[in-house]
Amino acid sequence: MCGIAGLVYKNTKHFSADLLEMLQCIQHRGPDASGIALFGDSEDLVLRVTIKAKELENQVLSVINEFGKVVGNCEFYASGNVWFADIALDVSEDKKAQLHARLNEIKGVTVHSLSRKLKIFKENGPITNLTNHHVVSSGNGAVHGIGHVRMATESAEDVNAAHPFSSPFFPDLAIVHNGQFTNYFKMRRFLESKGCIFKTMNDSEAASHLIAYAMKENDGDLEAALQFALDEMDGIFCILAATPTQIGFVKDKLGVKPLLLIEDDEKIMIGSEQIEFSSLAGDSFAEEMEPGEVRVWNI
Amino acid sequence: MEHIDAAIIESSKLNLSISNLMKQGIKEITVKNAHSMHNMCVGLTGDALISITDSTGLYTASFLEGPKVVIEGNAGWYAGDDMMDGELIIKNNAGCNVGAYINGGTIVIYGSTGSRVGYGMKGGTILVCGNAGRWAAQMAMGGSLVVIGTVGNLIGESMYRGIVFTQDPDVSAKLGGNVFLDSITEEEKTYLTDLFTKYGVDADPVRFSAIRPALTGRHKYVLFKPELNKFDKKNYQPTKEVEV
Repeated sequence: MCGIAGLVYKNTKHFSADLLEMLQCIQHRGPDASGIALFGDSEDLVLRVTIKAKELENQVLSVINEFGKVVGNCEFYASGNVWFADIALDVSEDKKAQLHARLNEIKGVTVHSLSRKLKIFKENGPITNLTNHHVVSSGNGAVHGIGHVRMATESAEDVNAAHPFSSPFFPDLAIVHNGQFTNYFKMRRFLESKGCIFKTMNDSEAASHLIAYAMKENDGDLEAALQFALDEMDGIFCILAATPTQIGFVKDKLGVKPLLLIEDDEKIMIGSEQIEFSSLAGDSFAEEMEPGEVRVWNI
Repeated sequence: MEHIDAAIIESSKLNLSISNLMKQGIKEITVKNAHSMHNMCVGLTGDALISITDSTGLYTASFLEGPKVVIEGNAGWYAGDDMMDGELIIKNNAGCNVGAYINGGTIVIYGSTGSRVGYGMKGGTILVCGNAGRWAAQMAMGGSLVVIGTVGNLIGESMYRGIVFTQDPDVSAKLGGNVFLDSITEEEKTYLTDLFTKYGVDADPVRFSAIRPALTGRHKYVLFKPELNKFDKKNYQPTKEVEV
């Protein structure tokens, strides 16, 4: 099943608690993992990463030193069967994608996000695990983000297979997905031929690389990338995608997976179920998105 | 009248509690604190008025046979799914696929509803007082769907039987395949007048048109027309059996 949520505040600033509350309302759609991607501003490049064994810490640091250096605190904290880190880096913007890919090459290391403006937090189990084990904060001035509660259907229950996903092709992009793809292996072969390293068997990871690949090729045009995804991906899906300046969605042509929208002067809310909106918008009627629809908002 | 607090009862036991009360002959039951619980009032048989004081989740009152269920708030997807008889009254909005495959009974939605309302319905009546989303009455096999507000795209797509009543001025641009827009008969006007009076709906039956499947024979069937008369018995020569 899975549930997705997107939130954009047009004026208000502090919103991560509200996004988590939206997800809390659809916890029943996915008890296996949860995650959110928050867009804010940070002076340093921030790496969110997991390692499977503590020994990999040095390997991660030595790769970082090839591209730049660690600024300030670098501590790995344990949660479940992996170690997480939230590391501020001094690495130039043009080397970001390369560092992202290089870290993902190490077995047992998975980059969740590497960006000045995007932070991805994810954790196994219900949302309370996410908020109890991590300090969910986005830096300054965050007004939009996306979130996900996962029901693991096709791949392992693993924190790295939780959403949102980011890709070295376009590290500032995050996606969440509800649905299944029937051409996963075809997509994966194509993406691997472009140098992509898959960290999970989750089909949503393929979607994140595909959209990011399109954005890399078209100089960051999210709408065109989502249209490309709609044409190239088979199956039933709703994908929410966000960058520091845009948020958008693509819905499958069969119109099977649910996607609802409420937009007013204050905010844009996108979600899988009406109940998500109840805490922020009360009892209002949500618009249902059309099959095969792509829509993008500039923030 | 009996009260049930859904907050302190497991979802799997709620319907059993309601049907046990009905077996004791209780005719009015109120369920409080539903908090969008799924599968409420599913498969209930008999005669009773069940009121739910807030919103419900998925599959509310599906397979209902007899009782009247009133939801004061909103209803989730597939409310009244496969309903056989009785009444389902939704005071506010409803999600997608309301009244899918119903065989009988009446569903009234006082608010708006999402896509696929009356999908594959085989009988009964669905009255939507607000707007209906896309693909309403798709593949319907009977019954009637009445929409007071606007309808979505591809309404009545591939209907076999049944009828959709609408007063949406733009409906002709939203028709699905294999259906046509028609005026309504005097009997149908009376049917609508009675329906609107019974459920307190302010609408004028004269303004309504009917969407009918092209299959009814009143218009040319567009998909397949067998030409049986072409077969000429006199000149028919069966294939000779081959002697071995």
